[in-house]
Amino acid sequence: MRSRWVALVLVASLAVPTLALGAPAPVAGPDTVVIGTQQEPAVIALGICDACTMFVATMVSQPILLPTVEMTDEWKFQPVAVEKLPSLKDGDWKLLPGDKMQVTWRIRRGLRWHDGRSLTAEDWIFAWRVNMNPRFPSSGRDVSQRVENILAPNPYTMVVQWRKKYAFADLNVNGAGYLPRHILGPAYQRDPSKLPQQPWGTSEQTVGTGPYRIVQWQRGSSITLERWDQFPYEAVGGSYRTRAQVRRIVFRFVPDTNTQIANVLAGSVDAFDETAIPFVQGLELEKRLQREGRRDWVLKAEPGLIWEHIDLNLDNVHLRDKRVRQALIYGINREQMVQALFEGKQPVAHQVFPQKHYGHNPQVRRYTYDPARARQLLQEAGYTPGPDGILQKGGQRLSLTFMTTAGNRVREQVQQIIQQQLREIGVEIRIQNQPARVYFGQTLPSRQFEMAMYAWVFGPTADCEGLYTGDTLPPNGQNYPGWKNDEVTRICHAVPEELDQNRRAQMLRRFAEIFVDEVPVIPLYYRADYTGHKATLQNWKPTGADTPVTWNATQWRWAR
Amino acid sequence: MRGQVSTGKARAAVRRPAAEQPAPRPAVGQGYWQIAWRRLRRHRLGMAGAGVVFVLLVAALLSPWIAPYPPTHIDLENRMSPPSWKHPLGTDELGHDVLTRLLYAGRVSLTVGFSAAVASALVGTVVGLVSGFYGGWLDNVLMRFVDIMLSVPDLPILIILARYFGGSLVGIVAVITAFGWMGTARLVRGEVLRLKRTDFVEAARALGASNARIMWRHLVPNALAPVIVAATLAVGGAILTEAALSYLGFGIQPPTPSWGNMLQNAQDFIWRTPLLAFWPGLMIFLTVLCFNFFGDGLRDALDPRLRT
Amino acid sequence: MGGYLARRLLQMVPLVFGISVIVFMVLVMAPGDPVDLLLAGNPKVRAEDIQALRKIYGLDDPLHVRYVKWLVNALRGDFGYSRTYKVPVLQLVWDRIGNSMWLTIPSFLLALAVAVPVGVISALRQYSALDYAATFFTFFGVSIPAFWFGIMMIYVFAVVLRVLPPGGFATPGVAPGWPTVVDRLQYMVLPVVVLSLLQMAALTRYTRSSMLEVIRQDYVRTARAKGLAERVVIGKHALRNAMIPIVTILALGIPNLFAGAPLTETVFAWPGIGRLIVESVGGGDYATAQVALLFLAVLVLVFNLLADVAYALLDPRIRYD
Repeated sequence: MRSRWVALVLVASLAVPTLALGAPAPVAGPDTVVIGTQQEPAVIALGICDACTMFVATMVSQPILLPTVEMTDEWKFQPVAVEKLPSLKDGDWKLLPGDKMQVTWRIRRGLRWHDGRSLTAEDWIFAWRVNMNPRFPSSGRDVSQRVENILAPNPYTMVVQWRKKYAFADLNVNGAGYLPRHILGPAYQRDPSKLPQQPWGTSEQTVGTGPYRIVQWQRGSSITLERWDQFPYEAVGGSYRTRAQVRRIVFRFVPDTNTQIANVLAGSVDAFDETAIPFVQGLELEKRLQREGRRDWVLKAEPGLIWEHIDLNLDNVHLRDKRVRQALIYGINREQMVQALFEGKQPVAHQVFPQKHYGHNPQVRRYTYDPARARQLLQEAGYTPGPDGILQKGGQRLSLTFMTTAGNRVREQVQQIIQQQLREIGVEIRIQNQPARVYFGQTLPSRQFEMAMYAWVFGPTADCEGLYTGDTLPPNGQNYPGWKNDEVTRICHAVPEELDQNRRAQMLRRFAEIFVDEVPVIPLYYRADYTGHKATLQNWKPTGADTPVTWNATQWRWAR
Repeated sequence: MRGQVSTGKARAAVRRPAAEQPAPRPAVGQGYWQIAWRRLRRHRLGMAGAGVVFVLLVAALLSPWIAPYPPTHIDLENRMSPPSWKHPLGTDELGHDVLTRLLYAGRVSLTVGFSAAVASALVGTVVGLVSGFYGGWLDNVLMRFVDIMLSVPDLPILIILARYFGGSLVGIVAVITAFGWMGTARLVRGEVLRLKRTDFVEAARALGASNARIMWRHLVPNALAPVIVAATLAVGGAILTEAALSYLGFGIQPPTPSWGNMLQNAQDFIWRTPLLAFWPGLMIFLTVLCFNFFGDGLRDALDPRLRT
Repeated sequence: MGGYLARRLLQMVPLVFGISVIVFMVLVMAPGDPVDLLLAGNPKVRAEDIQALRKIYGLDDPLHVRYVKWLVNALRGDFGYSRTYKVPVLQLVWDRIGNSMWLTIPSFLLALAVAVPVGVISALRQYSALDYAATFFTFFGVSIPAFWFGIMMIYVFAVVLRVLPPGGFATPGVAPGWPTVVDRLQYMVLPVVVLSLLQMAALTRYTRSSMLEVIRQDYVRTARAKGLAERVVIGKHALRNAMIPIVTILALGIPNLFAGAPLTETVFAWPGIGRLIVESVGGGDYATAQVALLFLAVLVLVFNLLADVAYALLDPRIRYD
């Protein structure tokens, strides 16, 4: 009998996968920076990043793969792998008849892949070809498709021919960056759709070009970078000219926020990035550190380019009326909300673009909380109180469904506050949330909503095309409110093709004026991301934009 | 939330030797229920459980009258305040009164628990009845389907379903029911197979009773006791499942409070106000515990053969 | 016996097929598709790029075509790539199962080590204080929400006492060898305890009732009447027979060792299979969710069969033709 029982156990144990302990990462030390981050990237090379999260991929890749142009924490652009940014004035950016353009880039000499190959024009051209191949799963061709062709008169010169005008042709070579043709070429020939599954870009075998190289990738746990001492610091530009002092950078993936916080308190990470700790818990952590009188950590909440707002569906019978929309915005006490929930560290948004963005308009009208004005506007619009205290007009109650992504706790709190406040001006709000996949995948694109809260994540060069142009209602774009204003449509289409920055800014300011008057959308607040570092770690400079904090990793120092 | 050892399969396997012993049980009549009631009254834990369940039910029913605040009353000036005379259990991250929210959440959780248990019992009884009574290919198909449902890992599928049909009360009940009926189905089928061979069913058949009449008049009442026991125990299970789904963010959506989503919200603030997470969990625990006590008492009372 | 086994194995084929269809349908019929979600954050994306992505991922085929494609590939041993993790699904699932076992096996053993003696003793001393305590404990164990218990444990041991990590799997940078083992053990303590509680409770209950049933049997009374020492009666006759249903229960519990624990793994941020399933379902990583769910379902079936076989072998009263 016993032997049979043993046999059963044996059968079971044969099916057991190995329980081997993975080789642990190198030991932390004074020449190491351990960064706590939330999500493990699947792909770290942006050129082949399809379903990946751009931000974390950029975070890890910046020290490994030199950027062509970098953005600083002051939102200045500096050439890194190229000698200079082309300009109209210097003549390396030329306008051609028929609104075409030609831009010439000079790649710095002496840049090498970690395997010794030179970094040359063919790598940029290859990346662009890959991105334009319809069989490659690209999710971002909007810039690449504006490029007609790229020529390389010699290995260090690229002549980019643009189909039509593009305002940021001096910051973006081809909309795709560069890729190692000598490594990925054969795989690309075989099957472009499998390119994101190659060892290059998804494992330790990612040969890079930067001052660090990837030495270990423990799945589900950490990625370790080590300084590459042959890096030609003199040959590059921008922050990468500084000789790196930190020998190792370890990214530690901690998906759970409470665990992340415990790691911070215990000092088992040296810093944490923008994604590591959501704002609310970051605020809690900051207060806790203050309460305990700890000075060994420095926490910063940098308001950024993430814009929380509520789209109003302009086809709705109530929301069609501008007065109703204005009443809603007067009826919401956004100032009190951000004070109570965020201690004001996520500032109220009064327009689309935040202060740091060049298109921000400091003079637009501000709707401050004014329930009396809200009631008056609704009365003017013909609404009268119904038996249940909810306003009505022509027998229709002023009752609106309010949607957002289910499971997002901050948004759910904001919803409940708005529900209570609007109830006070006689508007009924019915909360109905959906999982992100349905919400973004189906509800918004089909415009089956009345009020929809979500965020847009802007880059520093973002504009309003696609979002508020009258010809880009879904499925042709993401004008989910369905806003059709001729002047706005004209402005927003013209901005990306206006090459003069000042004139562009002027246009966006005019857009802001119309936007604020019409209220197709209720701007709520700009999100801020907490980052933190040990007080002795110097030059930790988050940008508050889509450039992660590793942009100047070569400048990080430990205070002695 | 099926425990590893509570699957219907396991039960069937364990009972096999028992089935070979004679299983004397009186035909259900009025005396039967009286005896059962007397037995139940003597079961101390069972009665204690029933008492607490009763109190919880009353509190939930009366919550609009006994709760100190309206359930969605927000007080932003007064967030996460500690327990005080104004707020006996303090306030949460929006300034909701925690006691009020607990009471209203109890309504939701108990409603979900009862509805899902009753619905599961109904579906299970019908399937078991049909399967056991008609036998043959129908029985085969239905029981294979039960096997499939028991083999699919339930929580992940529940999560998928809850993402799309959850949110509303009806949706969440339907989703829990979808994975809750199989045990009852097997139970009833077993009973029916046993009863089919008994004299009184054969007598009824000989007297020309229709199938429907035999099922309704003879099989259902006789299979009722174990179904009631299973359903009572299932209430606790359903409450746990709802809590788990809400905790993962796929269950009842705010502003409607449920114990699970209160717990989920409180998790963000565990470093500062751990009590926020303590109360809803305690309520879930107490409720489920009491239903289990009560169910156990019921089992002992109704089905002494299963007494452990 | 051989015939019986063959028949049971044959019966499993349509079951596995049925499960794969159900899992596939549930996953795929959920509204919205991953490409939409992927592109939601990008205001400049073009409609034709969305179409192209759908085509590459095979999302534009009708449902039955997608299922047949999947099935054909699966039969060839190609279970596809995880879209989130960019590794073959089988490898991903296998790795995560390995991680889960760090929790499931110790917690199973812990449950066994406590439950069997407690169950036996409480049966032998029915109605004693220990019996009542054990009974109460079993109710406690099956009624407590695991995730809440986990959170409370985190609060006590990680926040207040700060003696154990609040979650996670390993500290990066720990030297290989012994320190790694010690490090891993620290992370294991809380989740293992939480996970074993439910199993412990259920197992105690089964052991107790099974033991109770056995000691009332004639052969135990006979053994006693023969004047055998109590130790022999219990150890040799009663316990052995009481173990039969318990072994069955254990065999049925083995799939759970592979299945991980979605809730406990979520609370403790443990990168196991349970959490992988929850995440892949949420993130629209169909290929992963499909394989992981199917794999677990098949395990349940296989171990059900093994349990029946073990039962037949151990219990002379049962014969299969």
